[in-house]
Amino acid sequence: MKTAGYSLIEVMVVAGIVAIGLAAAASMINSLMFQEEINAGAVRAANLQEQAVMLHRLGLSDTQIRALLPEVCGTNATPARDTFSITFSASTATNMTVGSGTNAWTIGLDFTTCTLIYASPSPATNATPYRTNTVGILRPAIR
Amino acid sequence: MVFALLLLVVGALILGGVAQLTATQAVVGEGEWDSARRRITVENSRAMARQYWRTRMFLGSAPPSASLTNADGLGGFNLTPAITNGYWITVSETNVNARLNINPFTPMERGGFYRVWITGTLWDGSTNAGGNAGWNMQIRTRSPIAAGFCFVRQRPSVADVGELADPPYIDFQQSQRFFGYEGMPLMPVSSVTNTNAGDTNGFGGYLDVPVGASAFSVFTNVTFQPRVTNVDMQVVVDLGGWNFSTSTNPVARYDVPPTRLYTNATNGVLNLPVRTVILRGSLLGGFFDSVPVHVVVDTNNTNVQTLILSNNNTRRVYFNLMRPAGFPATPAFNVASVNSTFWRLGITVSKSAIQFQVGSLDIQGGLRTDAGTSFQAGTAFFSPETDPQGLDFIGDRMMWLEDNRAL
Repeated sequence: MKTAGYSLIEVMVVAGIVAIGLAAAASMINSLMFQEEINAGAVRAANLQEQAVMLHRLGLSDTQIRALLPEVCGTNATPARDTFSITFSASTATNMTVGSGTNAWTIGLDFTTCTLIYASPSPATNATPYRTNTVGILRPAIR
Repeated sequence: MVFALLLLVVGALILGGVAQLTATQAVVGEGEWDSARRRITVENSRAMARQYWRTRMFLGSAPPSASLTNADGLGGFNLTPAITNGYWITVSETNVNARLNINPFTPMERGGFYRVWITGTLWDGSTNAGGNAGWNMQIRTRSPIAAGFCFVRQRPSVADVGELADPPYIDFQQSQRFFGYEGMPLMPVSSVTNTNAGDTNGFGGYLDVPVGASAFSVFTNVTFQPRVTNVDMQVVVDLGGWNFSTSTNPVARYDVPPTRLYTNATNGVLNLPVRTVILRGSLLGGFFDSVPVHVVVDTNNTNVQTLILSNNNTRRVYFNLMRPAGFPATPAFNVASVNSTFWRLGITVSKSAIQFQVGSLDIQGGLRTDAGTSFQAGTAFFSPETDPQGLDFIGDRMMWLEDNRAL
């Protein structure tokens, strides 16, 4: 009794299609893993910058802030892959006018900018993409 | 065949789900940047609002509503104090339901702390009005300085009563004295009687002028006592020649050395029994002229007996005199002036009487003491120091600013 079955060619075609699909899936998963690492790093970077700003408001120096942050942060403008750089500009006295006319009043504030640079963990064959975020920080002159 | 296709579909779905989860994570990550930026902006707005109130809360009357429209990345704020008749509406600490229409910092209104609530809005840098945060600021104090009272007599501790100056109350030699702050109705001291009211030991707490008051109803029994001046004025310390250029401290502190031989700069004769301090102001000019000077005469230096205010001074000078326990009350510490019409000066005298013999002298800063004060000659006008940084030296610490998210 002769039974139905697949020819060798059919099996090879299917195997080829499955192999291509698996290869594509593997590549996508690899990309997704990289993307996930980048996302996680970006979230860490945003949190680091916010913490750095808060510590600056408390009056800590740049060096102290970098020492206290939970991640190793340098000052290099081109940090290594998957690392961070946080720098502060020198504080400047900033006057702002509140109200107008006879009710105008000048308030003095310290103004600083905090710049964070995050180098994503992209594949070694790619140029390291940097994400830079700069925020302005005001704190009372009277603290 | 069907089973194989089903397996491929399930695999594709799983891969699609993983891709979607990763995409969602990416969106969350991007949202974190925006959230952090808004939180930083709100904190910027809070810093602006706090600075505004710190520079305005000491002025004795209610500041107007304030708005700083700067809804960009730096933030902004809008604050509105409740005001009636020019004074902040305050809430009694002991009766939170009572909204008192008084100067909240008036120590005449005894009975505890008072609170001033200021409602406002902090901006988060978003153009979306719904993104702004309602904010409450609250000022609490019992400080008379905060009420604009630049002439303060602090109640001493019971243990110190026996060591205080004689007489243990403020007396005035002449009737034309005025105390108050800028804009406050001038109050002739002739209507002041004494400070014994309210305390059998003669310490009525603060000698102040209630805002808007027409009379010192709490004072009775006028006493004007002439004093005998037994301090010979001599030159001792000339801070005008002090080199501030080497100091990076924003406040230059000068501890008057107890062992210093005070030389009469006029004739070079040593005058050991007579101790005098002269501060010459406005001699340096420019930036260093604005550096505050904190002069401390501590308890070891009982020889310093006189402060001579020479010429005019626009530099902030804070003079602290501390006498040791048991130090004789007489003679009182002297404040005299030479060719002076204006001095920016805050004086804190502890455990020592103080007496003024000045010309017609405007003092911006004030006096705080826990002992007797007398005026021997001339006329002194006191006005408050309006620089909050300066108030650190002449004001007490019983004032603070709190703020919180509005519910």
